[in-house]
Amino acid sequence: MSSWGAALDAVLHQRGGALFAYAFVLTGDPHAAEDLVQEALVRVFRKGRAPQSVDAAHAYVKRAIQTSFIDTHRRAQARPRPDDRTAERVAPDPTDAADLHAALMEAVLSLPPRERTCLVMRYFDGLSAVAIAEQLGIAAGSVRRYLHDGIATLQRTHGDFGLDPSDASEGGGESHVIVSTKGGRR
Amino acid sequence: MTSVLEEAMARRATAGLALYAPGSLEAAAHSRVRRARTMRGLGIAGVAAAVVVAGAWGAVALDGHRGAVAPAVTSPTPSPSASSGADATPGVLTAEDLTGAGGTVPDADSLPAYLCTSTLPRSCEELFVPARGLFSMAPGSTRVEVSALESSAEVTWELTYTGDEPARVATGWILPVARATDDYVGPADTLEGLSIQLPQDLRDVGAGTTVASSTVVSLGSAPSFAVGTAVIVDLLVPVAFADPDATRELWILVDGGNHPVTASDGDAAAGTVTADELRTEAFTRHREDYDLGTHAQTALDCRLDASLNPRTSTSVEDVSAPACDAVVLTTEAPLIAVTEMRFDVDDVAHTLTVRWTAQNVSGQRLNLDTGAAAVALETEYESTEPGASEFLGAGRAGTLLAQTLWETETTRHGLLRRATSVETLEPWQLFAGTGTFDVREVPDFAAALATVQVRVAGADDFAGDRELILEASWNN
Repeated sequence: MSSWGAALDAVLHQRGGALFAYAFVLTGDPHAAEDLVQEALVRVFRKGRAPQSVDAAHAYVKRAIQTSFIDTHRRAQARPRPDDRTAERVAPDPTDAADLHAALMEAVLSLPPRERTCLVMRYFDGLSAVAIAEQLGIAAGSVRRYLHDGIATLQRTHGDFGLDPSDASEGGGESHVIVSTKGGRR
Repeated sequence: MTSVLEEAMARRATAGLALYAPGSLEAAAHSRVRRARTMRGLGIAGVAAAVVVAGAWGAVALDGHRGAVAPAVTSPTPSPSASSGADATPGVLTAEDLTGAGGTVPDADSLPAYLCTSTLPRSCEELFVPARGLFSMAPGSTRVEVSALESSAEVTWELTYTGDEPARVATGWILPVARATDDYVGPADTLEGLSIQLPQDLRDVGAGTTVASSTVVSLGSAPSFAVGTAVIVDLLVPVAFADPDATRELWILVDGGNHPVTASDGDAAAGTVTADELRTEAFTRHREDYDLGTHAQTALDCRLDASLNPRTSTSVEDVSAPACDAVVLTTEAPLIAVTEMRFDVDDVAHTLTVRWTAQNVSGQRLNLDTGAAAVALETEYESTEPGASEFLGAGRAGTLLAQTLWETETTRHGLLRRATSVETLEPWQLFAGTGTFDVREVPDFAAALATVQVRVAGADDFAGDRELILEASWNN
């Protein structure tokens, strides 16, 4: 088997579930998640040299999932689709945690792709605005704006959820150091 | 209580993990990656083909009409298939052919299309027709100039028909749909607000026919983009029905691809950008940044001893190729783009002459050292480890030749020259250069990665201790 083929199999065998789950958090749809992972794999493995370790491949594919999700959504927007941002408020029963979580995730799925991606990186990956900016290649100020706007939209359109826009833009941790073949830091 | 969002996402991930079937992705992923690698190989091979077709492309003149919806101009050199199928014969692709094979569900061969009433105001419904591969936009020709005074934008575009049989297209009424990269514009809305009626005297276009035009679009009272916005342009292409009495219209949405351009200021002189300003949001580029895509502008940020810079010191050789920090200046839209590159081989003199043309697509004035621009060929850029090049040739004639320019995972070699000529390039202005190689050193030039390097002048351009070199690849 080609070296890229073996590397691709290795990362899917060991990390396929984690990558699919990450894409599922972003898309909320299993078919879209599958497409997203495949698109990310194409971006990473289409060139001659494949990442040499599973850790490196996992990191590259995960990052490609984030950027592919933003790019794919851009293209999808060429076709008409409803804009949920003015949807009526959902009033979840705060005593039922499962309902609350489901309502909250439905609300997250209505956000534009950049805001959604930044929120997932902030609250699922636990990254700070600076770390998110570094990974997506955009300014930290832009990330803070996306986080702030995303939380504000969730509150405005779907309910309070006890969210705090300032915590969104100020909290989180440092960037993950991604292993690369030559030890470069990403 | 913000952690409720963390809990919700963790639960969603757990649900996703439960939905994952191990082994379900491998086959499709292998297939898609293999196809992408094959297509990429064909793209590289296309460099050699460019030698042959460059003349035909060069014959296409952009029609720069302003102030009105301009009629499109077709290529003056139609292909043989175009002339042989110029009449309305059974071999002509019409709207009936496309709608008959279309449906409401997209697939790999389809493009979105809009079937509209021909009476005004239009009423349109979306469908998908098997038109992928029939039309191709030239991203390097797309430009958007915003006039805030007139609440309009002049959109320039170029489209080539690449189908096998002639198609009946209302070439004069191709409409651009311009939108900010993070915005949404509904093509059906555009069509339903359109007050023109398609003409009856349509002609058939043959394979290879190129249509280039400028169209002024109204931005309305709440523009979706402004000067400096990264904009993506798609085209609505009207394909006519063979039936002259048809009361419907078919508009195909041709995706401009993921190639945004920065909207420039059509009203006033744009500001001039210096190297210092471009560095403000730069971040490290890594050799394995597989997903940078076509939105990014890469560059080389060189810090060096001014006494070793041939531009500012006369005590060194005329050229130098220091290893510089590889950086990404922006991921919104590129600043420069290579629009044409021709490779001419002289077997007697053993020379390979590379003639290139690039364009300022930044939407702003750029102070570029066009006199010091260079073309670099990397012959084994994917397989050679950083710093392992057997040779690194830097020529006076604006050339750089290496197996790879990567010195480390985050540094690349850039060319600095004593020759210098700083020009202020207006938005969309072209600049060009030529580099001559010894073809015996690069026999498989079609497989090499070809990149144009051009230095951006600094605010204090007498200083020689720091240089910023923009990079624009032709075939990557």
